[in-house]
Amino acid sequence: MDISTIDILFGDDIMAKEQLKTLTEPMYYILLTLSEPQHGYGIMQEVERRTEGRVKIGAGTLYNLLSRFEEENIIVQISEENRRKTYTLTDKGLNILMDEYQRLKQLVSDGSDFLEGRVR
Amino acid sequence: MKNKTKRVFWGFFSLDYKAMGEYLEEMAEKGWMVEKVGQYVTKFRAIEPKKIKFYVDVFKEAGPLTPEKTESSEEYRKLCQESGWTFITSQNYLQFFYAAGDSQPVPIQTDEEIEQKIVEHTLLKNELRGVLIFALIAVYILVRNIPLRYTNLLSFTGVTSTFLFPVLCLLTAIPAAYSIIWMIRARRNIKNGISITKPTLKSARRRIMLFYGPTWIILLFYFLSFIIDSSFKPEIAVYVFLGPGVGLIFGSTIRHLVKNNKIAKDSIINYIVVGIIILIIFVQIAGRLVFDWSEDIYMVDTIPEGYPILTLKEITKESSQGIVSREFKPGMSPIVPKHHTYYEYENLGDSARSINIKYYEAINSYFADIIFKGITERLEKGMKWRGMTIFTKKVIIDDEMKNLWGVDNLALTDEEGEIIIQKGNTVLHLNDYSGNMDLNDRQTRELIIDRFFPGS
Repeated sequence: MDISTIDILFGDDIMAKEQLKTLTEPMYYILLTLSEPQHGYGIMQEVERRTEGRVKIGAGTLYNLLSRFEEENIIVQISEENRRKTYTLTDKGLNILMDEYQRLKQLVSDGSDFLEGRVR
Repeated sequence: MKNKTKRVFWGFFSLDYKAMGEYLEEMAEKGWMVEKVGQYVTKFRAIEPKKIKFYVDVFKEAGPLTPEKTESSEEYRKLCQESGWTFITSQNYLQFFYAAGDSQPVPIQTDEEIEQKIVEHTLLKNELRGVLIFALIAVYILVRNIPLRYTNLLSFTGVTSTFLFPVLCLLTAIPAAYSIIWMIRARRNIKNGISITKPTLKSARRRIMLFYGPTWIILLFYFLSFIIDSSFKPEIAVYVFLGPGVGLIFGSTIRHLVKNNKIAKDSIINYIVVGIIILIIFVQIAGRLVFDWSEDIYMVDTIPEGYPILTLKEITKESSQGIVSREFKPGMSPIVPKHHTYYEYENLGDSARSINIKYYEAINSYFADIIFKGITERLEKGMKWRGMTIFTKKVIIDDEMKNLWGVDNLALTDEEGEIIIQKGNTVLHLNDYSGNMDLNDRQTRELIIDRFFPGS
């Protein structure tokens, strides 16, 4: 995980907005999952399903990421039932996710221009 | 077996939380399941020996002054439960979970960098804060005791404090040093993309032994010293236990109320401030009461053999004319095996006269010299009372008189009838308030030398 991203999550960096443009893999998948309302355990299952078990997020790690995303107004809680909170992306969160998607697409595009011919 | 429980000493450093799981697994295989983890003691319940997986996690929203159950902790524990980890108990920031031995739940923390940051913000901060508070108290006590205070040499507790307290201070550097090393290593590993080093149970146990072994030995010395001193001065026992005792009860009560949601977290500081004020007032009042009782405790009529004294009758060469009261306080320590205070007071109706003797027999002349210098410095400094210095005396070192008396050190004060003498391992501080003793008189000199420094 990029060190600056972690610092943002723990409030160590005032350049939070700028640097959140780079998401880690678990963060990207959590936000992707939250494009639909979802609760904590649902997120864990969905991320595992989407990545076919490649990305697994621990409950403690997820709890910390969700609480910081909520503080940064990237996600919002929409309901709570039996201590189970359901979250969804905010507009800000959606923008961050879209920016990251564009960035990743650009990376793939740049890579394919250069590497495609070399790949057998 | 159902209700069989046992309590085991729990000395793990909080930063060794990953080794705790290994220990709990070991215990479960021996048939003991953890039930409650305390600061120093852990409770286990007897079970059928089996393989159980344990996970000890650090929850950043918990802490020493946070209730056991909060909305956030319940939400976090539920999430862990859903991912396959059953919550057992918590101890400050640490949360204890288990899962069946043959299950494969996803670890609670899957991002080491986030984990390292949480640990730095919780355990490390807490550990260093504790060490800092102790360091401040330690520096204050050490500065107060340097140079060596002779009064500390007169009791077992004083001697233990003088020689073993600095060792105790050094020992507290162990957890502090370990915390800092842990932080540097963890940061370096994260930077290099390597996993945070997981402490082994063996290394965690070695740290427990290294820290608690000498600490318990020193505390045992303190306890024994305290018991011995109490036999000489019972009022000290009451007084010494009063502050820590009341503080401990108050602290535990506050903690219990906070942990069980009886006190709002925001108002804890108010309770602590009020508690400290009550504690100070209580100790002050109790201290006065205790020292008032001591007035009567040591009044004796017969002086034991081997404790030299001088009576008013011997000095004035007159028979008693009024009501005489005598006070004798013996004491001992490893450095000064024999010392005593003798005070005699005679009420003559319209006037009074008295004599005060302080006698010290140290193990050697080096410590006797420290006592002599300590007494003279104390007389010169006087006493501090409400911002003023009172009872200061001028100390006169009289070498001519010293040679005449044939002693190693001799000092007089501007108060007539007061003399401090050191010869070999013995020190005498004599103060005659009757005004009848002539220190230049040969007979007086011989009486004092024969009585207090025989064989010279």
